[in-house]
Amino acid sequence: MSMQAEVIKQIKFGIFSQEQIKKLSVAKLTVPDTYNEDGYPIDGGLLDQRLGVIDPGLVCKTCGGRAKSCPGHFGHIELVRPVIHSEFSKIINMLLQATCQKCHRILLNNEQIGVFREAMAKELAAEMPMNEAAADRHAEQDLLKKLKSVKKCPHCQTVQEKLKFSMPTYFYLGERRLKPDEIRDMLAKMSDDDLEIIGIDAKTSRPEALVLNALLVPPVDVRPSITLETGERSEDDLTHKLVDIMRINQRLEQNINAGAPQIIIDDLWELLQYHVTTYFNNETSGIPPARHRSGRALKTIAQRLKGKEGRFRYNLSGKRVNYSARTVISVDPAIDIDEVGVPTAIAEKLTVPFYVTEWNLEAGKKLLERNEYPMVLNVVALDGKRKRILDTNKEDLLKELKPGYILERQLKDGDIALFNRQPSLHRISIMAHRVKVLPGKTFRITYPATAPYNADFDGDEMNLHIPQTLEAQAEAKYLMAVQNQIFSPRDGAVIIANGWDGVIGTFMLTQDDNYLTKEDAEHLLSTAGIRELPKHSKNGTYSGKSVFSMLFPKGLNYEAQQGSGKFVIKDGELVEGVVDKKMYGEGRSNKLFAAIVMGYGFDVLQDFLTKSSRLSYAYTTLFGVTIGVKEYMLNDALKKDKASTITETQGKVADLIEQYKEKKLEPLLGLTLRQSLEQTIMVELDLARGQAIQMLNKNTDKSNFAMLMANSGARANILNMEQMSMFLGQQATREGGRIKRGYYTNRVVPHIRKNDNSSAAHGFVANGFVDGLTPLEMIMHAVGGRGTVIQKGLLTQRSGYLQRRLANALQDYYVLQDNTVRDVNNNVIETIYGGDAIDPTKVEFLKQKKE
Amino acid sequence: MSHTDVSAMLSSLGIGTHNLPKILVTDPQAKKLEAKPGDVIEIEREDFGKSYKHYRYVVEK
Repeated sequence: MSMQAEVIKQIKFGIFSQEQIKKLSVAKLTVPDTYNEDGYPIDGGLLDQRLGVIDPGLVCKTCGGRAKSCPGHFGHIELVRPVIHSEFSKIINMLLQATCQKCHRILLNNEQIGVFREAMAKELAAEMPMNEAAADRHAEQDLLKKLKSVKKCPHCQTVQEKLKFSMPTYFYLGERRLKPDEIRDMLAKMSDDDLEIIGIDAKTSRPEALVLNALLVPPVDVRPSITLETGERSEDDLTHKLVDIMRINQRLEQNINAGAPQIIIDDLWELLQYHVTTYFNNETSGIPPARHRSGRALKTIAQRLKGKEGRFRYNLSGKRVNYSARTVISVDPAIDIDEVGVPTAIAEKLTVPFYVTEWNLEAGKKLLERNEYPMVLNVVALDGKRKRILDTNKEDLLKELKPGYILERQLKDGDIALFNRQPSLHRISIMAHRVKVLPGKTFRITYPATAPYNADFDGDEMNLHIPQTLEAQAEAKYLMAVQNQIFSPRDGAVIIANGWDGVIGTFMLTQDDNYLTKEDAEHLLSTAGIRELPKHSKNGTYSGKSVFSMLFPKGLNYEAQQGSGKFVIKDGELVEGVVDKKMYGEGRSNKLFAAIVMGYGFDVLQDFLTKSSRLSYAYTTLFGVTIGVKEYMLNDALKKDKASTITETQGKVADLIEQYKEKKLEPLLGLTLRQSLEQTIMVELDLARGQAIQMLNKNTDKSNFAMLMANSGARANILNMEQMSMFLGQQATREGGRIKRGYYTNRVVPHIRKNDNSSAAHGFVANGFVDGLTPLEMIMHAVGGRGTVIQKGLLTQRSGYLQRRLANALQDYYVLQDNTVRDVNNNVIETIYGGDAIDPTKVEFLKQKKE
Repeated sequence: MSHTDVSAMLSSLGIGTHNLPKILVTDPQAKKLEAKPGDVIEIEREDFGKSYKHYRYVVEK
């Protein structure tokens, strides 16, 4: 741990002048080529050995270093004719616009200059906060823009000609094109004082440096050539571009010396400008990108830095890290929710530091001596040098081991690891797990732990990171542990809980009339790790409720509404109610978990979760839950119900249409007669589905597994069941109305009559999937289905981006000890966090405490 | 807010006026209160039935 010696107060950027370039350069390059026939770098060529060496064995002619020690040195090309630096052309335009074309003074009169200077002095003296100073800057920039409209120079009274700027590098004064050398002269004549007003520090960057006379050539280390297997050399894109520049530069020189006509010289000059422009940025708008022989656009300087794959986002913000692993994930119902199954192959590679101290020296030695699995892989000595342990140096290392050494030992059970799935959208996308080393090649997590990661096991991969300091391990363990993330930071809802076969089992088990034999009760409880039996009932059986109650912590009291009834736990005993998803699964309706945490803490809740999931899985397995088409076949009573509902509804719709035609229909408030008809029909058709659901509920056997799944909340709901076994019902469009359009006007398909207003013609499906749909119904279903898919896609995309923008805008705000929300500049965003300083994850605790 | 109140509030938060959220003098609400640049407006906010104080620093632009 080193101390911070200096604070960087400011960074200044400037532009290299021609003189600075020449001073910096170690070689003037003159030959537009790389290697000679012998494969040796040409002196004065682009791979001149003075620019540094990258081939092993060669010696740098500048610093005498070899490939590894030579950092590379800059060279330069002298351009026979100056060219504009295209990346600065906007600034050049601004400067030309702001200065007189004759006397090259700034186009402000002395009074205006005075005002400007005063404002600048004030800004400097007042040490204005950054954001306010930035606002003032903006005002100045705006004023400079207005200088475009100044017609006459206030200093020499010269009438200004119209200056035209055409991207990327063309300037015209009136009709005449300004050549780069003229522009350079104009810029050179600007005074340092005038530049200061514009906001340019002439000491570090003179404006004439924006027109290039000499070009800095980066060292070979920046543009290494690659040797292909065939022995052929392939040069870097930048080298290619530099060759182009030098070639044109040479041709231009020859033509000038030979006294060629002006047109030819101008053409070559323009070509040189093109090459220099594309050398800086090959995606400059308004000019075609320079291409490789194969037709691929060259990757020049700007392309190396820009965008997702550029230096900044790819290599600097997106650095790769050590002590991490990534592989496919899969489930393991046998491990704990806060564990992560790590493949042996990974555990053998990843390491955890063992900090040797005076007090654990012996333990350290013992660890270092080991020759098999949890053994030490590396030793970090006092000088910070890392040594790999080999049979040859083990003895020596054992002898020299002393406090301050760090032993890097293999990962083993119980180590703390951070587990992450991308996209990391919220804080619980990274949680701390305990390592459990397992055979196999995948990471293993439990079902409840998938929810915060939004993971499933269809091929998802996840990342594992091993915290390397004791502080990091402690922080991870106490702040990021899975069992501490059970409640959502969004609204305090439960997000880590059992689902699917984790609730269907408890649902069946805790039914009122469910009694188990002693053997079954013993089996179930022992899978959950409980070695006691509850009190049995009179005839020696055990009620499901009493078996499940064994999982509750002693003395738990809890009460909640469950449907029309109640859910009551009294003194650790479930007296009333059924353990379903609403009571104990994901979501805001689960308040039981909060009650357990309030009374017993997170670790007890975690224990309850694990045990109850095992119990549920065991019971589901014991009972055997299965579904087939059978579950969706209607009995005679329901068949009658279905037929009557449909005829009744269709009759009603026909009636409504009749009333409409006879103009007897009562219009609804704010709607036309036609709209009213639509509205009432929609209501009627939706009602039909509601009726069908009621009938299903009434007339379906309780042992129907599909019904069981829906009622427990494990999977599907009654609507799904109704749509399969009764009828699909009205198919809606994205606009929310019935399906209207499709084939020309007024009908969906050509198979129905024009202006047919019946329910079937507008997407009412009177059959279920079990009976099968008619062709027309199938079309209607497809129309509705497509609409749903589109809507879903649109919605997730839009809300996802919205969420991201919000998260990015808010990410640096934090809550201080006094409950104020602040940003990094200590600005107060809110005087009390959320208006009440309440942590959303603890809302439910507060509510229960009040009661 | 009076000047003494402002400095008390600022010191209790450990900040300067420039750290407060800003409001333009031209803002209709500021005009209604006849606020001048440099003033601090105290706002009674009520969220979830609880009231708390919020502040705005009046600025020219």
